[in-house]
Amino acid sequence: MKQTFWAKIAFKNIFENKKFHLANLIVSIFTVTTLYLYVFMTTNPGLKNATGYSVLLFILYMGCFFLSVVTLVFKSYTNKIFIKRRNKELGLYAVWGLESKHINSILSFEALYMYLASVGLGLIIGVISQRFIYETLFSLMKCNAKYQAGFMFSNLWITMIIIFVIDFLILLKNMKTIKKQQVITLLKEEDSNKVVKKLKDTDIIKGIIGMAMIVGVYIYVNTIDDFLNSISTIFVALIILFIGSYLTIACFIVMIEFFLKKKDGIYYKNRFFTTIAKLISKTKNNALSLAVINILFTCVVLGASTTIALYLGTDRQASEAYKVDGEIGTTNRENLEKIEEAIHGAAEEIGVKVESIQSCDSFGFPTLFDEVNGVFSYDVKATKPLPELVRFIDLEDFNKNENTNLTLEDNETFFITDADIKVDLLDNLDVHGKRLKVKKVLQGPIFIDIDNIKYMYTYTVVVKDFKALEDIEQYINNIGINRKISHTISYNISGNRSDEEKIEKILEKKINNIGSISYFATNTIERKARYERNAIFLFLGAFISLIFVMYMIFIMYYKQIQEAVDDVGNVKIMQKIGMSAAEVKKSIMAENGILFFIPIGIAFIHVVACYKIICDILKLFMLTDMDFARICIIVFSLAIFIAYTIMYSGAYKVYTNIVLRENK
Amino acid sequence: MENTMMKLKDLRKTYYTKNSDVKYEALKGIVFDAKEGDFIAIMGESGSGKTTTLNIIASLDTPTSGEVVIGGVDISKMNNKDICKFRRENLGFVFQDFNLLNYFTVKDNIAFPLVLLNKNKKDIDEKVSELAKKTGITKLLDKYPYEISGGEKQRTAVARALVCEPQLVLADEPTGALDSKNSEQIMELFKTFNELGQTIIMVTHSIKSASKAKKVLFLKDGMIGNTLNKDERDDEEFEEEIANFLYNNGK
Repeated sequence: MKQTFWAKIAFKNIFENKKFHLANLIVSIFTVTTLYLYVFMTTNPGLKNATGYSVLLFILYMGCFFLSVVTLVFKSYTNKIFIKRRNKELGLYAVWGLESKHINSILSFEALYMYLASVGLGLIIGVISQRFIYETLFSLMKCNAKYQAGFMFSNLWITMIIIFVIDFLILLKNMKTIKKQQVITLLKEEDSNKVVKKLKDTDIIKGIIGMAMIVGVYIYVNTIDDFLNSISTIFVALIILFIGSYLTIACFIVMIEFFLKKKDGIYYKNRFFTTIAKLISKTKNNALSLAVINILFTCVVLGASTTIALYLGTDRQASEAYKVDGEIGTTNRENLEKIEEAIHGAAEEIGVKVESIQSCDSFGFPTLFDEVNGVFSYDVKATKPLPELVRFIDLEDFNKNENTNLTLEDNETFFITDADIKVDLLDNLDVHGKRLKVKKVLQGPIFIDIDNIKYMYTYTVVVKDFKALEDIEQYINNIGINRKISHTISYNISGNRSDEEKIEKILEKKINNIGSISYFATNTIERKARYERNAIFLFLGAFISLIFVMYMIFIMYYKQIQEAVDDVGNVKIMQKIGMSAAEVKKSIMAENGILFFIPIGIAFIHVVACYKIICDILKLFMLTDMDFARICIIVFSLAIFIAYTIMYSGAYKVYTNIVLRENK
Repeated sequence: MENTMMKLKDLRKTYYTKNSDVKYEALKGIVFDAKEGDFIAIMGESGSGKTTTLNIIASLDTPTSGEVVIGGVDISKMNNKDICKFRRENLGFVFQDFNLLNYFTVKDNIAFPLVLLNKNKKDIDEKVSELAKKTGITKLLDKYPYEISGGEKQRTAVARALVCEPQLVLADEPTGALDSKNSEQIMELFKTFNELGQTIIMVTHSIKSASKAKKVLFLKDGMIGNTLNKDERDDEEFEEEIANFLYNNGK
């Protein structure tokens, strides 16, 4: 038969089942638009004006890749539940004499129509909204980057190819599934109301294992000391958490429902009777979907609230990164005075006061430390998970910065560390062969106390004076470790943010004339860089969260229709026996309500239990104000809970409309 | 003198097709009474109005005009909420396709109407055991509907219909999906319960099933054509009379 015939049948199929296809199409269109916008951002030359262009580009590339993978995973899953429902229809085609190549033609045309519709509409929306989205992003980034008009066909092609590959893989999978199944298997309609007769012993074991997995992960994430080195393990823990959630929903929750069924005082009550009996089967049969919703919901709350907190807390992060307004490093100690003069000069020019100005000389290098014997050496066995750094400073700088009045004799030192080790009784230090006497072990940390993620362990050795510092520099250089003493000067000025920006510009010119400047960092520069990066994170987080939410709605909407169609017969019987429409509605509200709120209930417990991890991620980006982060998470969680409740009430209406309209 | 349990007064039902004036009169003025302890079979060709009549008596459908009075109450004037209450307290149903809920055990299916009436667990257990014993399904109480035979399913449905001690049991082709042996057993059950005082109205195509009733109403084109009373005849004699009647009247 001619392909046009199959093309017509495919079109008719989509039209007849528009109720199902429409939801799928909306999610697909949004995915295409998002992917196009990501690709557009990545390739638009306007982004080059941003300060951290290469980092931002990398984040956007990762966003495109992540979105493609997410789309493949969720499209495959939604397709799986969709194709199961169509088994009977495809079986009937086979009964009518259609060969598998004919069925494949129908499926291919259907996939093609959906592809063309989603890509066409998605790209149109993307192209129309690209300027607005881009300018919104730049305004969020608070940077000078400007939207550059221009239409690149390559962006369209990249998006079309990615979506084509995803849709083609799914089509191949469908063809393979249909080919493998026998006609009689296809003709059996998928019954989502399969009755769960009794609780198997294996289910009890699985339920307990699921709970144990969740509790284990909770304990693990709350006892991690070294966040940075544990990221890969945390990722594994998250996978275990989701497997645990699935087992908990499929087995442990069902165990509770069976327990309630055995409690005669509860089960044989009018308001619980049908609810408990139906819930057992519904929970078990929908466990995978509920687990997927749980994963999506957890990801949305974690991802979106983290990115929102990061963006809204950008100023906080910038001030945490630099407690001072600015810091200048030089390789020439003699220039410190000139730099100080430049700072005063710049402040005078814009009419502000220099509130504080402090200099510090330090000499540091990475090493390994044996705390038992007080030995710094590359020969000792590495026992700590993080890199170690030894840093020498002179007593004058230490007293100035710490506001103390300590004294030292020749070859004497004070020792301070932020590593969690016992060094109270340390009398001597051996620094790569150089012996130093420890006058006292002081309590740390020193200078800047930021509640941040630990990147390394720092051992600070305070020596008598600058000469002692130079001696150590020379000794260390002689044994082949080439490092130089660094000289930094930090300042704080009065005035507002605009004054900080002005002084930054003036100072930049002034210190360039001095020369030997190794770095110049200010709160303003830090803030700019962070706004750019956090805005990109927010942009990616918001769009991916929206896609997750859309998939969540799609899965639930689809499941509601499926469940409602299967429940029509049951409701009919219940009404014949004497259940009123109000009682039926009440029962549906309870069943669906419990099913809807199981995954998000568990998701919220996950978020609360994993709060330490969220804090660690935020600290990694220098957002150390945990009260602020907590408010962001709570507000966002509440907002999404309200959105979810609205979704629930919509789904409930769809359900009751189907079951009660059919019974009228 | 026996009390009148149910009265149908000039019951009419007209269906209108959507978006046109074409109408179809399913019932054209049904009038009959059922007394307490009656066992009435309604027979007739497909489309004669049997199931429509039963659905209206069952309050599952509403008449276009006329009255349905059960136990002195006109149920055709009741609102939805009261109808549900009335149905669960006063009516029992047995359907051709059993209408059992698959997610309930046999015991819970029987108990369902009692739960709707907020009976306590002790009463529920007592009534369910009693009915299960009478219908011969005691051993099946913990099974699920998909684990038992058609005959057993229908026994379960009969037990469920009787568990609330309803004024009236309505049966729509109760033997339609059963083999002859199971049909016989179900009809014997109906007969036994009727002898104990239960009023039953049954729609059937089966002459054998109808012969267990005390009275047979023949519906034709939405009206009651004829009535046969069993009186003192036994089942076989009555069966023969029904058969002869149908033969002579061209069904």
